[in-house]
Amino acid sequence: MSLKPTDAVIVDAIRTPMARSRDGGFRHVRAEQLSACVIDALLARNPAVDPGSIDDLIWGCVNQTGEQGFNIARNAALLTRLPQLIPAQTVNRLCASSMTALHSAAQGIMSGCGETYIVGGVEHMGHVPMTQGLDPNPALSLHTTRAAMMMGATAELLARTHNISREEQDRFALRSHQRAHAARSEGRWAEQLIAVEGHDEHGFRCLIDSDEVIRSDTHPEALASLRPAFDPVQGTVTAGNASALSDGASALLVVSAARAQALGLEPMARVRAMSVTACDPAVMGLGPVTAVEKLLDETGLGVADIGLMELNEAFAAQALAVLKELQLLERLDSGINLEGGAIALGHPLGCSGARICTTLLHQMRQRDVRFGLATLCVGMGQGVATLFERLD
Amino acid sequence: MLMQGEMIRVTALGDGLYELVFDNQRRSVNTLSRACVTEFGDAITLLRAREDLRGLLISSDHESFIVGADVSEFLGFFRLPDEQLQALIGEMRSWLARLEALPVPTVVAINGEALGGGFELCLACDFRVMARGARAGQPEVRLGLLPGWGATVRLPRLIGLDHAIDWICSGRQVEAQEALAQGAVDACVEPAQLRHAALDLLQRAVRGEFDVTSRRARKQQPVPLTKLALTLATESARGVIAAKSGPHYPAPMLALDTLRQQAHLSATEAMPLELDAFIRLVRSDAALALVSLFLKEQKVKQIARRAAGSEASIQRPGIVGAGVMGGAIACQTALKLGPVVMKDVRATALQQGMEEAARTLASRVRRGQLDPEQRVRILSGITPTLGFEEFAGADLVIEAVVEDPGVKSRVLAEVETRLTSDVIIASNTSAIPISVLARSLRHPERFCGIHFFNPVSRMQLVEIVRGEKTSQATISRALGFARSLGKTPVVVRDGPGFLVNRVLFAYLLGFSLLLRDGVEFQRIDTLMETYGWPLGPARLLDVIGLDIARNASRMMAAGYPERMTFPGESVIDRLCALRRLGQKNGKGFYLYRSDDARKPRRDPELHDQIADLTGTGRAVSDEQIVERLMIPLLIETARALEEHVIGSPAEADLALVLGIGYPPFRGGPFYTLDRWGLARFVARCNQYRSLGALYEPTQQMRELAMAGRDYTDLTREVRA
Repeated sequence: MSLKPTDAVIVDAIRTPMARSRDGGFRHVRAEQLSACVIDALLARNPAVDPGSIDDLIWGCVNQTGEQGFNIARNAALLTRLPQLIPAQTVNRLCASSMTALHSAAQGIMSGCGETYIVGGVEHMGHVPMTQGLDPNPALSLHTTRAAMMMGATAELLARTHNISREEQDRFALRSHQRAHAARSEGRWAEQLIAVEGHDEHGFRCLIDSDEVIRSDTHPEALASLRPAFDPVQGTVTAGNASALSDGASALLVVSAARAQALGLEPMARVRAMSVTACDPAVMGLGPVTAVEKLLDETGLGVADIGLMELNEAFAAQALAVLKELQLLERLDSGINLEGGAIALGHPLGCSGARICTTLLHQMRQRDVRFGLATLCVGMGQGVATLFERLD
Repeated sequence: MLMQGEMIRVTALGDGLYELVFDNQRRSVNTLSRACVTEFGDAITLLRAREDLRGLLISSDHESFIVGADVSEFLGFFRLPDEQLQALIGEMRSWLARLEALPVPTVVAINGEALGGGFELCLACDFRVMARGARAGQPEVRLGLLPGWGATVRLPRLIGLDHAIDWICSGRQVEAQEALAQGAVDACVEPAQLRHAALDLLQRAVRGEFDVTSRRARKQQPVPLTKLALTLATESARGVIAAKSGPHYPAPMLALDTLRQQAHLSATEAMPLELDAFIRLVRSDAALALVSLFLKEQKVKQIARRAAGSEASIQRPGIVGAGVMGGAIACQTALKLGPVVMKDVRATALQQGMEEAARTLASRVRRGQLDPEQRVRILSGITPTLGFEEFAGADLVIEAVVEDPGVKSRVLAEVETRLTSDVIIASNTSAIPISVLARSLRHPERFCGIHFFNPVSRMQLVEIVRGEKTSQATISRALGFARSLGKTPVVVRDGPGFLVNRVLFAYLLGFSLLLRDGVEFQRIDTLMETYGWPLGPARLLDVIGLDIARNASRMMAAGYPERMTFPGESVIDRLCALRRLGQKNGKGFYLYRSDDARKPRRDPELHDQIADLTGTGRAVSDEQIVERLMIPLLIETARALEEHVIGSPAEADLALVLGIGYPPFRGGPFYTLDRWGLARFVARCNQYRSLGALYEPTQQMRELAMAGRDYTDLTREVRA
């Protein structure tokens, strides 16, 4: 396979540890600071790239209010070693925001508008709760239901429509924690994780260098004992089988193949294809189904060609419904979320798109896989997917 | 004038515009009574025949638009067979359909309240203009029913299924601003501008500025949600509604199912489904009980209103005895009536009282019922004082010092000597006989009891206690005072425990006897909560406080020794001795953690601590447990009626629902007795004869049972 000069390639991908939102290590670290840390770390790791050559900083963030308001991309950039003349924009496609940031950069490169981008995203779920300042239009109820905004309720609906039992969901959650724990203990995240200064439980200044919400000790009985979080009467979705609340940031360095070659950078992979689709908001969790199908259609590939897949775990019920629809359930242990997912790591909304790409790209390199696919569901009914291809 | 009826008039406004005005000539409020529906039909027929008709304005000449159907007619309707009932409901439905189909724009001006059928009429119009401060709502579920005149069909098509579920399944009232935000009304204006704004809108609509056709089409079509969104909307609401309404109140769930079933139908196809559900609910036990209770509430309020009627209202109230209760009464007074003086001999008690008031007001601010400025104004309306100087000009003084006859008597005597001779003096006591306290006063005729329930801000009921020498004027003024605090007062005759605590402690004595016979209190709590009580007796005692319950039990035993004496040491006595005082100190029958004080937890230690009092006992069935608790309560209520402690079965039923949380769907004690059947009841009592006089029906109960009559008959005779 040969690269075109205008192919978008990923040169590096990193993330902060995912800290617990409630009383976690980043409780005194703001969202702009987390963002600045990953941007600076990315630049430091890639000295060949001149910070002044960045065409745009594109940053995903969902709840753009408070410390995340007023174009956080720019506010974060001003805290870094990026020169002040580098532009910055914040994008919002809810949970897929930073994947959309990647798509924008890739499109810029493919269309010849630019050659060097930093993309990524952040969400401080502890400082800026998901629904803070939210004011849905009452008239929305004439077109769909406001329960579509209650993600847990949409997951309950999927559990029902796709016959996904509480046990299946808990098993999936357990797997997420076990796999994440294994990846961490085996040091497989060494290349993607950067340590960030924060505070320990006593308020002492320390380096946060490890994800805080993974439960290495969880077991089936502990998960089974949790009460349904969204439907107390007949619900199956619990805090244990849904993504946890965490704070974090993640970033990717994206350049044109031509620029990579000129600077002597070794690409991790190229962006082979991208897709965005939408679906009924009532089953927002199914977004990845059409997004993946569209992507495969366009490339002529089949699911069998995909060596590794990262499917964001908003909810176990939602992830399982997607895998059922795509008939991928039996591939689960051979190629899907092999290092756990958002159930174990947490789901800082604006960060997650870049975070799953980061995890995927490092795995592709470690396991020498050609095609890797990352996809997320999006609240109110959308799906976003990216296909990466490793180069020989 | 085109038409002048007793309820409605129709006038021509010129240019083909007409106005239909609800103007009930007989009563202060507009209701959609049978007579009004008939006139409404006449008016619509008349308007349809006007060839020059170009637009219709609907309005009200009264303080409120329309408060709903006339509930006093309901019990009569409930007795009709299905077909006749359907025809009756169908009549108004067809008039509304004709209103909706008029070939000209229609606008309604909504002032005051547009509730139930009143708002369903608004929904049949093209446009709704609402006065600021006015309220709309579909409260039918609170009577165990659902809307029958099309709200379940028109409302979701107008504002979406989510909001329609909220309005109809909760029965709550919606303020004008919120109604506007949701699209339930088209404009919200100052009350003085209401008619002007409505007429202006009508003129614009007539000129064609607004698209009336598409508005009408939307109301006829299915709710435009996907099947999945429909499922999500109803299923995500189901759990919440089920948890709130519980198994005894079928209306909210049936309303939800009806909304769901017909959402994907056209309005024409949907209307019969609503009617079917309505008839089903009319036949439910809960609807009959809740409607009866509503009528009793109206009656009790009317009694208080009439009694209070001619007397001068209380202008300058004072409270003697601060602390938690005094502070709570002061707060309610300042909130509803205006400035109030609160006195105590101890500065710390005054501070405690002010803190209580501040806490209550803060929680109202949190719930959005007050703004912070109002809170400050209300709080500064309470003047704390150590002396009597501030009481100059007081016309009512409530004594709220500790529940100790000696202390109370001393304080009351001092109040009397310090104040002018025309002041009304009231004691807030839950159990000490008023006539005992009256002995310390020179003018017992100006003295009565005003028994507030705890927590004062939330408990609707107030017992006005008539002592042996209390004058009617004193009672009337006390009633007026309680009404002005937004409470529902009932007059009770003096005696240990008055009405509510007397009845409650008969029930709790039944509980103590069950414990003695080896029945586990957790089992009793579960059964009684399933029966419909908000809390089982053990949990209730933990809330009341075991020490308070013990003192009250002793007072009951002293007052009614033949029935209310527990032989030996009761579990309540034991818990007091062990300093297990209930929620207030973290342990009673259950354990309570300070972070979640209301959630009871099992205490494994308790069993051994009371084992010697609870024995092993015989097997007692679930049914027997319920009867052994309910029978003493029902008999004691009947006894109170016979002894003229309470004026009527209606007042007793309402007082016990409001005062101790008697399950509303069981209608109150007398309603329960009548449903049970007195002959059957007396027969059941005989099973428990061995338990003593507490289970002995009264002479009147036996006579009624023998004669095959009940308390409904008795009430009818008294009225006749």
